[in-house]
Amino acid sequence: MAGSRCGQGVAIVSGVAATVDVGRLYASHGNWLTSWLRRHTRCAHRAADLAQDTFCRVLEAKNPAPIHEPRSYLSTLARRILIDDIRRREIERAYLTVAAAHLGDADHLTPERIAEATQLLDAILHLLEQLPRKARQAFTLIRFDGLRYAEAALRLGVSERMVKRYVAQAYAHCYTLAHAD
Amino acid sequence: MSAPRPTPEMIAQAAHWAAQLATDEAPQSDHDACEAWCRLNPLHRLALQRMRAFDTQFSHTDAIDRETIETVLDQRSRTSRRLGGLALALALLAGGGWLAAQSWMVRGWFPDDRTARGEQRTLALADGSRLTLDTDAALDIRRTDRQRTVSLFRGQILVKVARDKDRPFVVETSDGTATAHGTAFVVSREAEATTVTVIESRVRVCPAGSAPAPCADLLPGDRARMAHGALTPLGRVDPATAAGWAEGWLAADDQPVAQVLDALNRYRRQPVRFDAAALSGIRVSGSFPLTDTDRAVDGLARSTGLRLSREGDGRLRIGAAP
Repeated sequence: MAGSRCGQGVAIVSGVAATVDVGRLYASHGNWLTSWLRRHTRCAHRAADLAQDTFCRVLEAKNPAPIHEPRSYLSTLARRILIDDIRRREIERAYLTVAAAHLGDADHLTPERIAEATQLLDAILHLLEQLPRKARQAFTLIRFDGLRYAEAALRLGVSERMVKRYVAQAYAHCYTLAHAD
Repeated sequence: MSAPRPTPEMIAQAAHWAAQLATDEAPQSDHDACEAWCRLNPLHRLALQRMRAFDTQFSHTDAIDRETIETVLDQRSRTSRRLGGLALALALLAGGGWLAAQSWMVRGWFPDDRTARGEQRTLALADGSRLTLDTDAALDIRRTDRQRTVSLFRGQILVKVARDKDRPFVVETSDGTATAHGTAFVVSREAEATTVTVIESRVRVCPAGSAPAPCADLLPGDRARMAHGALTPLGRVDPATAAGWAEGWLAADDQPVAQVLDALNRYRRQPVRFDAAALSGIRVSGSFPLTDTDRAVDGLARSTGLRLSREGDGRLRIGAAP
């Protein structure tokens, strides 16, 4: 997990209090949420962390509206946070494995470097993973491996024009995800 | 209040440019053409800059990062086969319909076949069918055991279908499909709509969209328009002249002269200038050659009594005689 524990949250509380009373929400449902998360993570530590993240997310909500079903609202948020957390841990594990293979060991990687890489890779993976396989392959060959179109076409067994189309598709797709609203 | 945003079409075109310029093999002329496109509209430049921002983000990766990306993608594609639901939910979050529309536009930038402005071409397909592409058209052709499919991205085509009862012939656009077993018909895709005109036999049209209108069968002389899931009959036309353009002639039957000039301009690299408001009320009938549009414009001026002149930059202008 990245270290930020929504430090600015306290300052925001007063502004949001009119519509969402986070303090009361926490008092009435904090324990319930933590045990909900413990059931899903089987780890008390992580559950406490994720519960805190969930309340941070409530504070940061752009359009705080009155909450009618607090527990279903909180568990929806918590489920999203849990999925993000699982994804980031998966990336972190893969990163450490690959780094160890490249560098002999991963001991001299600082926690900051790992957190930074995980964040960047999470963003890139978010953009790439929903692309159809061929488009993704074409895009990584051209963008990451620096191949020319003719070489990528040979590698993928399609025409050059097709590779270009895949790459354009990938760009449009990234744009759509990144600038959706 | 929200700032103006690049349209889906601009995004698709920016993606086309980003792809075109993604490697070091792009010639200077491509860079210049891209720059010219960016100058047309600040939103063009914005869309392209955003694409370039991805490049910057990607360029911050090293070999370890890239291998990690491959590893994680690999793992996830294996789990997603088991957890199809999650992938589906993510796709819905991203707005599937809009992505589908994007993919249509992106495909249109790299079509199998296209014609330039002013060009017409007839393709003989392996099954004996013939496709005539009108000016500035772009399409893909696919053939499977079950179906023959033409994806029309823009422009107009005349289809003469070789009969094959096992393999319907489908012309699809982002607005819907037109299906025939053996017949001749015209499909035209322009300005966010698709028009189907039947010349011979019968064609089934099916609009596309989130809640599309039901399919309908069109008979010779029927013309219908598909857009945004709706199907609108456009009345009857003479099937004998509906595809006159494919013979190289533009036929006008008591039509506003501005409308005929618009049609001729679609074939011209340098459009003829005219003031549509000043020409309103003037109508014209006749056949004008599409293979020589200078001659066509000249003929149009003669038959309407309008004056044709050449402006300082060499471009033609047509207007009322002084």
